[in-house]
Parts: sequence; structure tokens; C-alpha cells
Amino acid sequence: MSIVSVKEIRKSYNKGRTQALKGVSFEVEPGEIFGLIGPDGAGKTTLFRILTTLILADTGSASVDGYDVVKEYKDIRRHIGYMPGRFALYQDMTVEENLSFFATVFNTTIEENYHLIEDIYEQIEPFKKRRAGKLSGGMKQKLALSCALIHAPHVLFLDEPTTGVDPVSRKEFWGMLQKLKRDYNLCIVVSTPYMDEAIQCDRIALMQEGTFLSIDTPQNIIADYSETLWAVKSDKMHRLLTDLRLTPGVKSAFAFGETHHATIDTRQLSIDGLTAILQESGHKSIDISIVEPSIEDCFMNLQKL
Amino acid sequence: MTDKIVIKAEGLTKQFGKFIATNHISFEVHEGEIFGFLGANGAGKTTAMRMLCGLSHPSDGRASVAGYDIATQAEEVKRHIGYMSQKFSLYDDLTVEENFTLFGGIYGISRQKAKEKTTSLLTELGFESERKTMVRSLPLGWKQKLAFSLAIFHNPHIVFLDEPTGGVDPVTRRQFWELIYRAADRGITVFVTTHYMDEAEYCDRVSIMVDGKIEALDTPANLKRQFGGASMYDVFYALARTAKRVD
Amino acid sequence: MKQFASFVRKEFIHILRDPRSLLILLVLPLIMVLLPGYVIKSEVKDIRVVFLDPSHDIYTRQIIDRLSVNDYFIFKGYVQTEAETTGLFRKGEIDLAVVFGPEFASRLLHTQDASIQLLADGSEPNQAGMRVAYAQQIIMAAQKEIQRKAATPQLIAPGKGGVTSMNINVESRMLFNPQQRSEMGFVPGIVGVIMLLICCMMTSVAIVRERETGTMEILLASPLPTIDIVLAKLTPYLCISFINLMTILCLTNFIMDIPMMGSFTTYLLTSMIYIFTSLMLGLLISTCVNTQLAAMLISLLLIVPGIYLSGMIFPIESMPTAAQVISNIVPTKWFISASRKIMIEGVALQYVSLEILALIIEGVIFLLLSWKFFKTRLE
Repeated sequence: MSIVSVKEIRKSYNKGRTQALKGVSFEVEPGEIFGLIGPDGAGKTTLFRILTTLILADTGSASVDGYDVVKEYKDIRRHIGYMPGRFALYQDMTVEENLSFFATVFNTTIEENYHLIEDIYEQIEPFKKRRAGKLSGGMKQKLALSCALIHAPHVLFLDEPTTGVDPVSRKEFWGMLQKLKRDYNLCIVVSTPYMDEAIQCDRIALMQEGTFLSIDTPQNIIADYSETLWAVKSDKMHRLLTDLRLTPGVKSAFAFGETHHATIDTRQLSIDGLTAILQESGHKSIDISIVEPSIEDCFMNLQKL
Repeated sequence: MTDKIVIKAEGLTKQFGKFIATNHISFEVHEGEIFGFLGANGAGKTTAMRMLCGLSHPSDGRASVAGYDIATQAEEVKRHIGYMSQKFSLYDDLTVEENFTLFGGIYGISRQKAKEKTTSLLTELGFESERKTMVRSLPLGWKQKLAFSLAIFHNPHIVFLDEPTGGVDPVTRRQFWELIYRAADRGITVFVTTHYMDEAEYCDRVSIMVDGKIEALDTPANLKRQFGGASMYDVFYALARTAKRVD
Repeated sequence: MKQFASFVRKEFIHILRDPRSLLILLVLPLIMVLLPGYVIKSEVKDIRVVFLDPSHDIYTRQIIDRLSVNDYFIFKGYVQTEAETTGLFRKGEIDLAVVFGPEFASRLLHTQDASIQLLADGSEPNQAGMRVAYAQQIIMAAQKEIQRKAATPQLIAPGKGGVTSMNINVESRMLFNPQQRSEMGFVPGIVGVIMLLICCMMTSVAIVRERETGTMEILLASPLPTIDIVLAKLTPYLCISFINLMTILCLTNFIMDIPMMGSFTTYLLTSMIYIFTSLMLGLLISTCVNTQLAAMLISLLLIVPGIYLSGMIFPIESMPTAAQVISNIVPTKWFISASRKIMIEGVALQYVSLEILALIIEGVIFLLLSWKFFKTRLE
């Protein structure tokens, strides 16, 4: 049975002028990490709020842990852990006070489920007398996760837990999520605007403007990528982008770290052909290779359509 | 990029009580350079950037920005730089045009001139039709692009960008960087922080801060060679992992 | 219960960790009471008084003596006609005139309708009110003494008639501003406003803050009943307003010598009901807004006109009819009216039942409306 089941959820704001969700459906299975990947304004937070029973959808139905989000919201609230997008803990209370407060709110004690948070909480325990407002970003995030886990929820909803966090802390955070999944078979629904984090999820939904562009395992989404993708390098990277876009047979070209990724119409253009054209426009040290697309490539490709 | 140095920091330090947020950092940035200012959360980037923008007085060391001393000529510094962050960019309850007029006014650009400039900028962005749109109803990516145009509206020598692309969709993020390139081509120096490691590759030079100190500073290619990483992510990871500071 | 207790503890932590606000909450009310109290008190010394005493008997003499020896009063002699006093007032030579009714002693002993009229210059309403109140107090004390002495012979032979109660009918009149009532109105008024500020503004701000910082999202997504959230939020402010009430009462009673004529319990009961009504109003405001700023502004928008319509500054009787009607929905009006009756006139509970009823009804209406508006969700 699915832990989270969403059917044709729609939600609009401002009397229908802003459509936040335009009919999305998906299921999350037990023990799965499900990622909602998309930029700001894709509707991720709205979806989270509907699933955590904080707002009502206009149409469609959803259930969490077997309970209906509208009628049985009280049962859902007992069994979910939720970490909202903003750092939502009491800044003027200490680490320990925050944790024990949230434990009592959920009718439990820190001791009862300590094993669940042990690995995470241990790292911030030396600072348990420090006020939450004085913690660094990474530590706040760990505290928030501890607070969301303290009552041993059946599902964990994490709304952009890694936004604004540096790559090292982000990697560490995903490590914690993987461990929770492995050790406790915990079902986690997580959203992120960082496309590179998609591979950490079992299944993902690429989201844009209230719709799912695609929903599958990251591997399948990459496998479904239909374009021919080349990574192109030269000594003049900035000009290269403009030149690529002007070349017939190049469908799109975008900067992608140290190379540019270009989608190619192979009927019109070959690697040698492109090399020749670029050489002619004065580029040196040209390096072109076929690359495996990343989730970001897939997102950009789907986004265009 | 020219040889002219527009930012010069020498032993720049900021101390809060016992805590040394920024610990004697020294570096130079050239005119028209895109300078990536990287570091883990809490490494001291924001503190350093605040000092360079003339918003915070250094505890020790000195720095000059656009030829002005940040400690003694803070007002001159502010007049010659542009600033944009993810958190504050535009006034949500003003229209696109009103935002431009307002910022033009702040920097003493005449109304007529501001109007002409707004038109040319919006046309360049392909955004003329949204001139009278309230900023709050624009998608984030567009807001950030507009905010950037606004930050360089008064032709500053240097523009400081604090995580300008956080949460922006992949295509718009790249369009944003194309705007950065265009500004750099016009001779504006770009000083940028980001958590996207692919964006670090787009910088001419990158510095990586760890525990208040600059631990590495070079071109992305040299850094990768130096730290034996395939990407900037590897370089960053190798350095930031050594951080001792927990807060 | 444990959930609730821990929530209340959290609320106290919020307040205690913000010493500046706490100081304002506890000290500001005292300053608000002391300041006007101090000003008025310093003005009310050296009351120049004349007497019009047509009956010239033992009791009038007794009262005149008592007033004349009092430190606050300066004896300025006798007058023969009321017109004479008016002239003296106009020249600014006197502050108060005591006019005894005819046949004072015999009326006091037999018909119980002896009367004294106190005339004051109503163009300085606050001072006039204080002067009249002081004189009234001294006359009351004199009356008690007269009564005790007169009653003594009867105590030897207690008959069915019992002690005849004596009553001097003290009537005050403001010259030049007859509408102005004599009252020591500022204490009840200030207590009323302070309670409204703390209960209404502080509670609404505290509830809305959770929404603004995003913590409400977690609380709502938890099994914590919303009623617990609300009650826990109200508790600390209930405590603080109670502490304020007590300190203000101590201050007025022991330091400023403003007497409590009526029963302390009655006053306390009325105040607690008023605090309840204000808390409910704060709760109602919090359900309607999303930012602390809005909560504060709405509270102020309600409180400030409330001050004008409550009778604290301007007497309700002299307002236009429309304003008088509107004033009925201002809880502070009912509280001030009740506390003046209890503190100054010294009436018993049944005489303020209308005010208490009005406060309870309003409180319940606010409660029901908040109940209706309070969201178990975010929108």
C-alpha cells in the first residue's frame, strides 16, 4: 500500500488567478525517498502543505499513511514529521528546550525515540544549551530534522531542507536521510531546487509551474532523454556559447560547469563538422565529446517543451 | 578583464568578541573580472562581503574598493558599487518601472535618463511588456534578472552578488549568468557567492574560504589541477571538509 | 495536560528571554499610573476654601474645623451668599466652596436630609475633581464620627429602633463647567487601558508571531489541539495582567493614598472579567491578521478610539448620541464605569451587574467569533 497517494490535486490562490498546482498525481511507497525537484514557484511548498493537512486542495484527493488529508487530518498530524522551508524553530529557546518541547507536543519524550535521532543529535549535543537562533545553518538544519523525527513519524516531509546550504553540509544531510531510510525503512518526501540532489532519491518528480514534467526513477528519466548531448570546450568559453547557438544543427546550448552542453540534430552536424566550424571562428583547444545527460539536462529539455 | 586592481584586501579581519569571523584575508580583484567568492556556511563570506560593501567596519587590516578605503570612505564605496542578494532584490509592491525609477533616484540619475535607460534595459531583457507589472507577481527567475539589471543600473565599478541564483530554474539560472558575462564585458567587476558548484566554473577566478581564511584562490582550472579534482565540487569538498569551525 | 504545561512553559521562556519587553510590560503600567497621579497630587495641595454656613451649629462647626486643620486646605473665611463665592472663584481667590444646607444639625439628627454642597471651579476639571474628592473624604470621616458619638447613648439601651443611620447628602457642583463630573477617574481609566494593551495587543502579537516565524506550521501539523495552542498563549498574559493589577492597586492604595471605597473582592472580580474580555478580543484580532505589525496596528486602532469613547477622558454623558451608542461596544467603558462605582462610590456587586453582564457578553461574543475564525489550517 502506498504511504502517500495523491490524485489530481489542484490548488489556486488569489481567487484562481495564480494556479499553484495544476492537477498532480503520484504515489510514494513505504521506505522510499521521493524527491520533488523544481525551482521556486513550482508548487512544491503548496503540495507539502496539502499533504501535511495545513491547507486544503481545491479539487482532487490525497491520503497520507492511509488517512484522508481532509477528513482524517488529525490522524495524519499524529504520524507525520514535517520540516517547513524556513527555519521554523524557536530562536530564543535552547537546542535542548526546542527538542523537548517538540517531543511533548507529539506526546512523547526525547528518551523514547532517542535511537532515531541519536546520530544526528549527537553532532549538536555539545551545544544543547545554546539558543537555536545562534546556531550555524548546518546545525539548525540538524536540530530541525531531530525535532521532526522525535516522535518516530511514519512519513517525513522535508520542504527544501538544503536550500542555501553549502555543498558539503548538503551531502552530509543526504547521508543522514539515506541512513534513516536504510535503518528504519522511513518514507521520506523531500523537495529541492538543486537538480544534482535528484540522484539521491529513489524516485523523483520534476516540477515546474504546478505540473510534473516527469515522474520516475532518476535513472529512467536520464534513460528517456531523447536528444544527442555533446559537451563542448574551447579556449574561449564565453564566445563559444554564442557561436554554438549560431551553428546550424545545434538545437540548444547552455553553460554547464566547465563545458557547454549542446543538443544536436545529428542529421545536420557531426563532431568533426562542429570542430571544423569552431576552428574557423577562431576557437582553439576544442574538445567535443558525447555526454550522458544529468537530471538538470533532462529538466531543461522537458522545460522547453 | 584589465590589469587594473579594483578590490584590494590586505589582512582584512572582523572579530566579534572572541570569535574571528574573517581572519586576515588578502586578495586582489581586477577590473572586469568575475570573481567567485566561495565557502561553506559560516566560513565568513557574508562578513567579508559586508565589509567590502562599506556596511561593516573591519577590526583589523584594510581594503580598498573602487579606489576608496572601506573604513574611511565607506560612503564613496557605496556610491560606486552595486549590490544584490537573494533575500533582498526588488520592492515587491512596486511595478518594474517604479523600482527602476526609485533606484535611479537613489543614485542621482535624472528621471528622464532613468526612463530611457529603463526602456533600453527592458528591451534588452525582452521584458518591455512587463513594465507596469507589479514585481510580486513575477516568477523568481525574472525578479533576479531584473534585480541584477537594477544593481548595475547606475554603472557601478563593481557589483556584489550574494547567492543571486538560489532556487532559480536551470534555464533562467544560465540566462542570469549570461547577464553577468555581458556586464563583465562592459568592464563591470563581478564579485559573486554561490552554492552551485557549476557556477564556480564560470568565474575567472575563485576563492574558497574555510574557517574565516581564504584557503585557495586561483582559476577554476588551476584549482582543479592543484587539488586533483575533476570538478569544482571536488575542490570545494576537499577544502570545506577540513573545516573545524562548527558555528 | 503535559503538552499544555510544556507549551505554557515555552511561552514564559519567550517572555522571560526578552527582558526589555518584560520590563516594559511590568514597569510601564506603574509609570502610567504614577505619572498622572503625581501631577495631580502636586496640584491639589493648598486648596483655598470658603464656607457658607447659614445654620452655624455644632456639626457644621465640626466639619469646618476638620477641613480647616487639614494640611491640604487653607481656610479663607466665610461668605454670606452663593453669589459671593462665584465672585471669588472668578477672581481666582478660592478653589473650593463648602455650602451647608439650612438647619443642618436638626436635619441631620431628625430628617436625615442634611446637605452639603461643594462648589469647585470646573474649568480645571481634574484638579476640581480631586479637590472635591478630598473634601468629600473628610466630610465622610466627620460624618462617621458624628454618627458614632450620636449613636453611643442608644447602645446602652438597644431598642427595636436600632441605630439610626445618618446621612449627609454631599452634592458637588462644578461651576463654569457643570457637565464635568467630580471623579478620581484616572486610576480606573488607566487600569482599563493597560489591561487592554497587554491582553489584547500582546496576546494577538504573540499568536501572530508563531505564524510569521513559521513555527505555527509545525504546531498545526502536529497532534497538538488548537485550543491548547490558544489557551497556552493566553496564560502568560493573564498572569502578567494580574500582576499589573495587583501592583497598581498596591501603588494607588499605599503610596498614592487613593482609597478603595468598595470591596476589594468585587473590584478584583470585575477586573478579571474585563481581562477575560480583553484576552478574547486579542484572540479575535490574531485570527484575522497574518503579521505582527498588523496585529499591533489593529489593536491600537481599537484601543485609541476606545480610550476616547470609554469615558476615561471625556464624560460619556456629554457625547453626541451616536457616540454614546457606539461607546457601549467599548469594553473599557463598562470596566471604567464599574470600577469608578466600586472604587469611588463604594457600591456593592449588584450595582455593577449591568457592567459585568456587558463585559461577559462581549467576551463570549469575541470567543465565539475567534472560535469560528481560528484556523486549524494555514488558510
